[in-house]
Amino acid sequence: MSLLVLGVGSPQGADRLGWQLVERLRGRVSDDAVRLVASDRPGPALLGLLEGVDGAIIVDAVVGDCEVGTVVRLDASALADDGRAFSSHELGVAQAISLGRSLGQLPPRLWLLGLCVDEQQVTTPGEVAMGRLEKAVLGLLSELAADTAGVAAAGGVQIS
Amino acid sequence: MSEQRDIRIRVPVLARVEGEGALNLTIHDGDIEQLQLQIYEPPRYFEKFLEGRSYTEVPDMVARICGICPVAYQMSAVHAIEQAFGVDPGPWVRDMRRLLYCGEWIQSHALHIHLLALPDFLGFDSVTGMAAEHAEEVRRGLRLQQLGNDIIALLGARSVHPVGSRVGGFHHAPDQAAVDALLPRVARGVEEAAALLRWCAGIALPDDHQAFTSVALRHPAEYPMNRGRLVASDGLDIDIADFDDHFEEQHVPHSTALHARYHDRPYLVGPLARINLDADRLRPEVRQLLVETGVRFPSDNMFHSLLARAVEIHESLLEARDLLAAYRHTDRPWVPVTPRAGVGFGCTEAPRGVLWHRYELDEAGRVVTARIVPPTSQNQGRIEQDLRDSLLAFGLDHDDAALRLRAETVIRNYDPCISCATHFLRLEVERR
Repeated sequence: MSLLVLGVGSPQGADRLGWQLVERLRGRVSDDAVRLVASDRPGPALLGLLEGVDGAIIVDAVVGDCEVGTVVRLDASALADDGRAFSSHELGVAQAISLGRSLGQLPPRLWLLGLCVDEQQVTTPGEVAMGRLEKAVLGLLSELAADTAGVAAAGGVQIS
Repeated sequence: MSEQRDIRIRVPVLARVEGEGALNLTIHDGDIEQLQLQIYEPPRYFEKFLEGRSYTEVPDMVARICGICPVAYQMSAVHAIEQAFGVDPGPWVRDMRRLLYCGEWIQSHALHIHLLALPDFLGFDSVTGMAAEHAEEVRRGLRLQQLGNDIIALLGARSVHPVGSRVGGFHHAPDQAAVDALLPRVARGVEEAAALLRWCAGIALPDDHQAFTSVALRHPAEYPMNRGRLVASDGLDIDIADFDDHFEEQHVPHSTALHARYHDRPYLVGPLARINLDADRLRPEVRQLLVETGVRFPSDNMFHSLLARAVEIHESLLEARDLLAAYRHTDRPWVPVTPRAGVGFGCTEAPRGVLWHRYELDEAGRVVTARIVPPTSQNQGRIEQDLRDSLLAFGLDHDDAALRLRAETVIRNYDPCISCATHFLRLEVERR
């Protein structure tokens, strides 16, 4: 069994909640069972990160029709490509997943957990919102672990 | 020829290019009345940011100009500053800089071929659609791109905006174990690059021959990356310090990027220009593959840029393989640097072509003035010229959608990096 939590965003400034989340999880999940990665716009490298993984959670800031501070859970494999054309500097998460779907190389379980943020992203999310996001990630990890074959043999996901 | 008509095509946002650009095309009475590649991305003022900064900060600052070719900016900058200080970093640093540059060429070219250019030539809207029919080729392209990124990260700690370079060398020498782990992957990449070139050579590209002047670096023994003289297909052969005697940057009203001209004419820089001028510097294995595939250079077909990129991926992987195989770790991957006042020039071959830097530094090594001439601003005039020639050759009687697609294909073929190219008018107020 192999699980991945991928925090996406800028390592600096207000868009760093994916990085913060990964930092919060260090020491709370077993390194053997869950790989923790933080990435600044992974682009096509996202597909390499997802290769051979049984289940993955992508964590990112989201803007849209949701209340700031709430956590949204999306089946990432069903994410629609937003229609924006590719550029050499910008291959977004949705586009990379769309490409992975065409190539038939997405993991069987792929989720996106987003924390709704202000569109201007002036401030980083507070402790309450980050705690909510962390709880959601840990809950989903437990679901993935239970849902993944061979969990017992591998010892499961150790969550403190 | 069908009846003549007035056509106005505006592509407000160019897709599959980096940065914010647009195209305005007006056809009147069967002829092109107006054709403008508009670059409206805001200016970025990097040259002004650099003023007053220490030479130690310059490599990391200029890397931020571009997320795809940060190595090129770093290399042109460190070469220029080392020239101003009279520093020779020696063969170890020189080899590793070539290795680093190989990584950048591989990743940038692999990205352009597969994600940006090939969908045009194979009849797809994007790589997503292309991947459904050419999955193995796209996977191979992504593996090559990742390999390029990993070579950059080996020396730069990360692939985007790497931080390993400094004036005088590198901050850190890779561990032998990391080199040993990468070498077999690079060796496999050589085979994949050869397969990529064979595949690309079989793709039907538009047959559009044009007259243009190629400009690139030329080195006595090497395919050009970091060093050489500036040469052109009309016989020019100059030291990089003499750039201003032959090339001029001009403002045009419709662009925040400068247009560079060579002897008052547009010119081409980039992979096709390089290979047109330096094919005899390619490795024997690469030249042999060109013979086998029937790909011939020099070429006056701009669409052969795709093939030139594939050739350069192969060349770069062979060079990277040999440099990695010969690697020896050192505890001192830099030479000491003593600042002094002076002027230095750096000119290297970014994936998209000649990238020229000039720095004036004070006695403490602080930047007094900086000038950066990126490849996309040099190619802008050539792109407009190409668009005019290509659309006339294509036939203006095609419908608007077909004309638009051909125009976009022509622009994307240059892999323009608009963000790199933006400048802004200097404002001088005269008060009486």
